[in-house]
Amino acid sequence: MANDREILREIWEGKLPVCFQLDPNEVSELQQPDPFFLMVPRLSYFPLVTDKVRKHFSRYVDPEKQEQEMWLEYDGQPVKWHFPIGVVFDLYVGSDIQLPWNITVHFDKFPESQIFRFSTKEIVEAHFMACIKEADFLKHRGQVVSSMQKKDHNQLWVGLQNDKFDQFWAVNRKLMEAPSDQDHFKYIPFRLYMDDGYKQKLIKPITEDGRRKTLHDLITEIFPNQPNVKIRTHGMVPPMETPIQWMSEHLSYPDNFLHLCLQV
Amino acid sequence: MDSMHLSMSWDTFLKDIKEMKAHSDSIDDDWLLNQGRNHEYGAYLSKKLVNCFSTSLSTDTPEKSDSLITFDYHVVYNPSYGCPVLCFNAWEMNGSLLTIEQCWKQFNLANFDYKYHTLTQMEHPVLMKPFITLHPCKTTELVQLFANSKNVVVSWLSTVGPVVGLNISSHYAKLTN
Repeated sequence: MANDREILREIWEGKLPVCFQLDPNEVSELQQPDPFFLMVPRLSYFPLVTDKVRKHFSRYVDPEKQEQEMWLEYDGQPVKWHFPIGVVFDLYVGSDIQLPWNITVHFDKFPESQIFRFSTKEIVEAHFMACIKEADFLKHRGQVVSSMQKKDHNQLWVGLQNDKFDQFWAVNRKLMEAPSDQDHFKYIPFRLYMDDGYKQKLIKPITEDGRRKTLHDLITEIFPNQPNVKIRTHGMVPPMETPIQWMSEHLSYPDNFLHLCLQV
Repeated sequence: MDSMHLSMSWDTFLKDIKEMKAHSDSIDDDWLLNQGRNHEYGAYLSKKLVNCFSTSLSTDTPEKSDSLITFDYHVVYNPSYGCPVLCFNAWEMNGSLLTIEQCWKQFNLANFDYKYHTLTQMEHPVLMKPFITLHPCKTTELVQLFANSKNVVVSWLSTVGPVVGLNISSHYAKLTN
């Protein structure tokens, strides 16, 4: 069970300074808007923290475009904001870190074939809950989520949205318990990011003979021929001998997945 | 079928979609079998279909008018749930993608709260792009009902397809028994 509270806290409190700037081609006023600075939680999602960014920039764009859905760009790529913020950062910025993180804001030409439309908070919530359900299906065949009440689901979401650690973990701890007859999950919910996508696979936390699998074991199951890769998550490089059951309990994002970025 | 978890194995999925593709060719239906590169579960079926809708989909023209919508349906394997997934994107004639709100309206889900856990955008497991997806979380239960079918994908697809405007010809029924 996830019992190392200090680590859970530390992970929860991870934040990134971001500098948002409106695409100069979309400024329709004579005066350029000031950039907008924000400290954002790594565990949150951009659509949950950018209301103020929208408000700050919208009056500088063509009035006809002010109501269009805002989107974000980093380094020429639309930001995949259905990933948690920390995942986007580890994935796009990696080890060559320069802070604040410069992100360009757009109101025009939404890249609808590339990124999700999050027109309301309910849609972000639906995405988040779908991830939690999938993770619980991997860990407990979906039995914990389905035994919860709607208010528990709501508490997870509101806890994340309002940055309330205790509120979130009061419910999330149930999702992090191993089944009563075992001390580990059925499979480890994880995504291993590389190139332009990620890999998912059914990986058990223990070997056939009952040994706890490590991060190294997980990587070897996915890349049998490349044992020497490094993994980044929450901005750090965890040791390869870390047991994946422990990682799943302590280093998962609120969506209950481990998001592991391959370092090249 | 994997009797341990009552989910569908990748091999069964692959067999089922290959049978479906072969049958599609024999009756001149338009299903395509695609293969994503460097992907363990990369094979999937797809079919493009033009539907004519008599209701107005756009929000700024309240009066009813006929509009032609192109649907691109995909049948993909979800390794987490061990089940098939039906997803699609749909375009208006001007090339703009239908939004989820337009799809909810079209498929009579707009007034129900369960729309949020029935039909939303999800990532296509092979193409890694947003597709409007029938949620897989209930599919495993549905798939169990077809334990006796010789082609679970066909049985499942003919059941759930009509929810999102995809009707499977009864010719495919012979694959199931």
